Amino acid sequence: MWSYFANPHKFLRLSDWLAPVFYAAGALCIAWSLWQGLWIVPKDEYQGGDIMRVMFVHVPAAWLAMASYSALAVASFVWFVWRHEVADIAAKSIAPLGATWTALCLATGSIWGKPTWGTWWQWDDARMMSVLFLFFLFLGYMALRAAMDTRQKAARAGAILAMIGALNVPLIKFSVDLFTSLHQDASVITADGPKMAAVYLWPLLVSALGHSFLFGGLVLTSMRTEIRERRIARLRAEALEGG
Amino acid sequence: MPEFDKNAAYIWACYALGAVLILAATAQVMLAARAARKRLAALETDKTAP
Repeated sequence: MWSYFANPHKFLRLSDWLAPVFYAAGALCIAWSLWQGLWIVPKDEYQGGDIMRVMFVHVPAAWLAMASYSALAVASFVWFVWRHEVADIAAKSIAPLGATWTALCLATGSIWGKPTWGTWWQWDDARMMSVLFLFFLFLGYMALRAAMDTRQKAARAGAILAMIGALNVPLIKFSVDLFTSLHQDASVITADGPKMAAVYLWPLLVSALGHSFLFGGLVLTSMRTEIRERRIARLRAEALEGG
Repeated sequence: MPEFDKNAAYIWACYALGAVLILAATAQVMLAARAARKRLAALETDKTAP
């Protein structure tokens, strides 16, 4: 399977129709969840009233932050073991988008925290600090790649950082169980199933699906751009050699 | 427009921030894609030109 997708031409053919499908599905899901989150779902007094509507932005951003870093680590592992260029292109494309969604998670979490906990930020909170560390991992990954003088060195250094940094993902997930935290416990992905009422759960899941589709579409488009950039670099090198 | 309780400003701030960040990321990806497509097309035209 890896070999099939490792071929840039096959990837370009597949992504040519898959990216627009992802954009359309993402836009539909996000539009529906926005309508539900802002107009339809009743406010939950147990969760502080209307402020719980922030959940439909914050929680998908948080899930996607962790999922995107996991995808970055998997792509890096595939490149590291099999040296498939498309895996490196995927890792490079995921990083800035993962950083964007992690920033969204941090910012919306902070805004939600102010009326709920009375503070924008808590420096000794394991959940907040581990997500902040995730954001710095994304930035560090991009900075490390940019600092290398060849593409191979950039891919290798980035892959090592991405794989080591993956240890932070389970730490984020279990930080509220392992440490004292202002953040509430998990209420959707739990061993006993979701603890949330269906009226909130469905818009949340559809919002997460929409964010995932949009993220997937953007990653595919970025990968197509990176393949073209590498082709441009190759053509310029050939032109220099030839004349 | 929906009416919320005393925390309306926080809610709108979150949704606005989400819209701005996601639209900015989308615009950046699309503009980079368009620029790369144009540059590659120009180079390939040069290469095939007699």
